[in-house]
Amino acid sequence: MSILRADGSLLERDCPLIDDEAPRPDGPHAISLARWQAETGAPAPHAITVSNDVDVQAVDMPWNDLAEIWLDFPSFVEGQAYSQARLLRSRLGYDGMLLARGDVMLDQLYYMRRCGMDAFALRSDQSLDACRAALSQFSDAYVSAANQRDGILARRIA
Amino acid sequence: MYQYDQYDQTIVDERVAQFRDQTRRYLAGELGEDEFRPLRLQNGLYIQRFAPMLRVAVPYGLLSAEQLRKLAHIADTYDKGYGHFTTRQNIQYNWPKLETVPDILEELSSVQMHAIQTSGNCIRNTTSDHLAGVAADELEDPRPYCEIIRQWSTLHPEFAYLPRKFKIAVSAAPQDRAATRVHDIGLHLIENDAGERGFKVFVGGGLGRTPVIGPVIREFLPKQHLLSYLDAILRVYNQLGRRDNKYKARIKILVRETGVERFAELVEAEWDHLRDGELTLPDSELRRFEAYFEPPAYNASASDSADTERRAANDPKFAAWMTHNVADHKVAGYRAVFVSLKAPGEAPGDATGEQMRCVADLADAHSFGELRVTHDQNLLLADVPHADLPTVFDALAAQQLATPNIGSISDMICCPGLDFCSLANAGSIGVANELNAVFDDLDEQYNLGELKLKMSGCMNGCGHHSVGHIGILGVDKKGEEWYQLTLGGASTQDAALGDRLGASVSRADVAGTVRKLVDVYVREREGDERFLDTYRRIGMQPFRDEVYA
Ligand code: SF4
Repeated sequence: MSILRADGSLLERDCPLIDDEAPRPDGPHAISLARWQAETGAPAPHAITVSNDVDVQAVDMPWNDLAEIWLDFPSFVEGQAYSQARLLRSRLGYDGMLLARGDVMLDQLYYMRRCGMDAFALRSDQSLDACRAALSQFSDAYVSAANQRDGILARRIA
Repeated sequence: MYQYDQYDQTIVDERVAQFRDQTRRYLAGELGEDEFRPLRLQNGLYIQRFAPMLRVAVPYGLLSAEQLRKLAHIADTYDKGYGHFTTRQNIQYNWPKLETVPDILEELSSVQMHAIQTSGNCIRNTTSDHLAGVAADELEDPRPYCEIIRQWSTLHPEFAYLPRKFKIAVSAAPQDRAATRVHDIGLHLIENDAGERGFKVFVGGGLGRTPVIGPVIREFLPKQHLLSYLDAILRVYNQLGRRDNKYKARIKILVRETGVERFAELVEAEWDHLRDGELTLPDSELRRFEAYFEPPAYNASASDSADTERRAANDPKFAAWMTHNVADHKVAGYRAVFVSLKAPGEAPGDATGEQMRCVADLADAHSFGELRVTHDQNLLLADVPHADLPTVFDALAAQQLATPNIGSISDMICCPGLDFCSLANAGSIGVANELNAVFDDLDEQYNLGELKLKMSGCMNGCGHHSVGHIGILGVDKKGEEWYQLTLGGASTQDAALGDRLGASVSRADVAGTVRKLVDVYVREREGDERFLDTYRRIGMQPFRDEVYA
């Protein structure tokens, strides 16, 4: 599985997802949000996974202790994580990496990018080159977004 | 009307390029059926019973003559010479070839049109009052707000994969001609006691298998906050709407399961964060949008023409058309002219390329180059000088576009049904023809007055049967086409869902059953009561007694 970054490069790093019951290894790894919340006092992991039914605003944790937050698309039609991403960026001030995983395909990338996701664990059948091109499918957009401060609506007013 | 600036045009052009590539990948086998489906749906492309169906957006129903000519050209070049105008004020083509759809989209973009988000689980085309700008009862023209919503919702990154489709309607008149209460969001432009303008916000109305009249969640939203408030509603829905069951995924179910008050609280809590943010619409920006919808250059000295009156006095056909297809206008000497797409024997809402060109020419010559699509599936020339009415009538009549039946029983709404739609349980176009045969006498139709008959081929309710004065719903009974009738529905300011008449009737009995319903009305009505009024007064029983006797 390739992890494409917003700048078109590939993310190369070893960061296994550790089961809630398994011991945490020394190197970078990811655990569930629930485990992170439960293990108070333990060092923050490199990454956590957030399932798409979590109200991120209700989670009172130091988000910026995390290098990565993994958002979940169990199927591409489940779009809750677009809102989670926008909230993490615009309201909760998270400035680490937001990684989309699951049913992640070329045609969602543009929207994901605009909502603030900046790494994409692509489904294995996706063409990397086409995905890179898709990230900049549209040169402009009406509403502002994580990767464009002034959308057309705001710019016309300015 | 609104004119694209370079930003709007760029987005539409890039969308065409994107879809051309997606189609190429699909045809080359690089994109599976399941992945292509949501992509084509967001470009208005369904795979129907016989062929793909392409739905083109007509934002809030407004078209220029040039755009209508383009639609005619597409009908002639890429389809079988006609198009179908829908209850969402859009147009559908039933026979395009998949590989030509990118070309069609390119043709559309050349006249500032597109098919973006006309289907799929996203924010659909915003609809409005077909008399916007010319109705005497409106507070102000609602179309600038519709255009603002169009731009905000177009490719909105957060709301492209909602639990289900999402429809918004805007009305600015006490007489609700946009069926706002049966939309996911209905917006009524109103003035509060302090004389400020804003919106009364209804959420969670809808038709389909669980029809609901939308409740109010906010009595007054100052208009500069329109977009931030919509963002808040959509964000709550995107996060909490059900995705486990397609039939429970519309916002109406979320509102019902959460409770209206609780739902409103959630929206307000989210809006607290968003209000006064960058989606705020300053007055200067509202005025910029309003400027696109300035009234046309009416002739200030126009008045009603004696020649037109003389023709009406001597020509009963023209007089009937004047009475039924011509509406009042707020400017003296002008009228709004309905172009009936309900000629007997024709599928309701269908227009040929030739008919479209005729209407486009009339719009250029007599109505400032613009026209509208109504949600009753007719067209409207909104600004015709009274003196021009005879000329317009003659031209329309020559194209079978002057059937004087607007608002009457034969001006029925009807979805494509079994003839085209793969979801249908039963035919609707054939039944429409049988009903037309039973009610072929225009004088009788006039005698019956306003009678909204609406028919859908299945529970999805594209024909709005639940809000018909008489509603007809196609159901499947052991592989046969049967029909469930409802009475008393309405989509206007007194919106109501129809009540079930009783056991469904067979295809052969539909027209006869409607005949009996109408007979009861004629027997029981008092004064100038409409069918709906009589039903509301006397209730269901007399109708049941007649039908199931
Ligand atoms: S109501 Fe049913 S049959 Fe009619 S167009 Fe809609 S989905 Fe098709």
